[in-house]
Amino acid sequence: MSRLVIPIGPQHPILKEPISLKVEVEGENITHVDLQIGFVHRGIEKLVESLNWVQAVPLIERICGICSHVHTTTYCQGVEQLAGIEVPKRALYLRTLMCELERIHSHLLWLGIVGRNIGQEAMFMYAWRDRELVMDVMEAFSGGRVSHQANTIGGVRFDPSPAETAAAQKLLAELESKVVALRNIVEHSESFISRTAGMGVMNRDDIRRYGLLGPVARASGVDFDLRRDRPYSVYPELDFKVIVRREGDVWARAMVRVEETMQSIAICHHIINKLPGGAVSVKAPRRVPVGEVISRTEAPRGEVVYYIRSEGGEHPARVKVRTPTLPTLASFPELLQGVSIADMTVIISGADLCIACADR
Amino acid sequence: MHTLITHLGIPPEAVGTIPPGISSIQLPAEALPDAAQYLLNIDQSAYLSAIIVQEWEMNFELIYLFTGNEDLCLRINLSMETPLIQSICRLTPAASFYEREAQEMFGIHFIGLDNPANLLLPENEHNHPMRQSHPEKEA
Repeated sequence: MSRLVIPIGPQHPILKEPISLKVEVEGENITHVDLQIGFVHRGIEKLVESLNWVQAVPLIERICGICSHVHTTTYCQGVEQLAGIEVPKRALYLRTLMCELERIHSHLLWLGIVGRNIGQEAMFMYAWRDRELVMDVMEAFSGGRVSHQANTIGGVRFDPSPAETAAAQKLLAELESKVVALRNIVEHSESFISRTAGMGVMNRDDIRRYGLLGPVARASGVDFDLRRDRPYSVYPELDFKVIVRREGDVWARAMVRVEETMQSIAICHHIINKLPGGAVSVKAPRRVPVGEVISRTEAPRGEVVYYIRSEGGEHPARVKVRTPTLPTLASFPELLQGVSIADMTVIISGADLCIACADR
Repeated sequence: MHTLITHLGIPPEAVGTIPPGISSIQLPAEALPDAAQYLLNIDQSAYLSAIIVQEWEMNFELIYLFTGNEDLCLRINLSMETPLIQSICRLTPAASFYEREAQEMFGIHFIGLDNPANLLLPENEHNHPMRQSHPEKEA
């Protein structure tokens, strides 16, 4: 049977961000995949070294347009540890609230994209319509839909009034009923299940070999969530359940994400209900003492790792960013091996790639 | 970690901590494959989380972060003149992308790397932009 190489990307309807796949097929089946990334590499790790500690925050926010807040959270948390800054409790609660709102918006965005890529245009429309509710909450809090500028070293830059948090809770309650409807589609819709069940199956060994993280790992039976297993910020004070499934396919990844969305909505209510009073930030010093730190948080796609080193000056000496999409991309050549070309779309979108994060 | 220290005969002064409490072990470059293999074998949940590269005045430093039941960093110094180390991508394919990035950004050479092509930079770019000596530093 003749072999054919199909170039997919860097610009292609199935990709929401640019990567290039050279897919070699024999008949309908994929025999080899060459992957190229770096089309949105901006050299942010290098640029950060020429900025001072506070100037770096808005640049780091621009690593990603979906999980921008979690990047600044991880960075600020690391710098605060290095500088020995005691962040006010209210600031930590508000920071965590934005992280969970971001997880809701990221998971709903992903669900819409998967729906579109499997031919369920209605799911795309509903998921993105419902996502607007959480975008409205984030915008009301921070003033921004994509770049929130909510974090600063020493706390947060927004302080919602009781009326604003009550309005947010009303919107979140409305969103909850809509997410229940979406979960029912994912769980019971024959057309959704038939297109996603058994697709892109990864077992626990695959997950471990490639160091895969977040919902992809939890959909393959890996019971690990940094929020619970390496607790940071105020997560030890919050009640939530880590969602784990064992099927390891795209359907399980969808189930994990919709269940996590429900959990995140509950966490947001919990945070707002116990939101302490007081200041939302403390003044940060211009210079950070000599030292190093590894700061980690659970982003919507899994663990984000920041290594930050200070030489005692006004600038970071090194900021290394490891995002969860990078190991996911590394697994693609093996994951797509032997798969029908028609299923490739489902598997790629099922992984929930964030290329801007991976490229930095 | 204690079994790894015994297994490799690591002196106490080579053991440290990276805040917020991740244990670290300083290793010679040639001990890396054995240490990585041992770590992945004794802890069935352990995986390679990241390879962090940084440049000091006289040397490069590689930090291999393993996450598992107990998180651990393996710290390795490489000379500026011959930054050469064995690849561990055959032990864990997770290392492949991290090593490729370290290679193009800092010019670290990984022996046995499965795909030595650039990961993030254009294919003909070989000037290691993350090095302190790179002219774009002041830009």
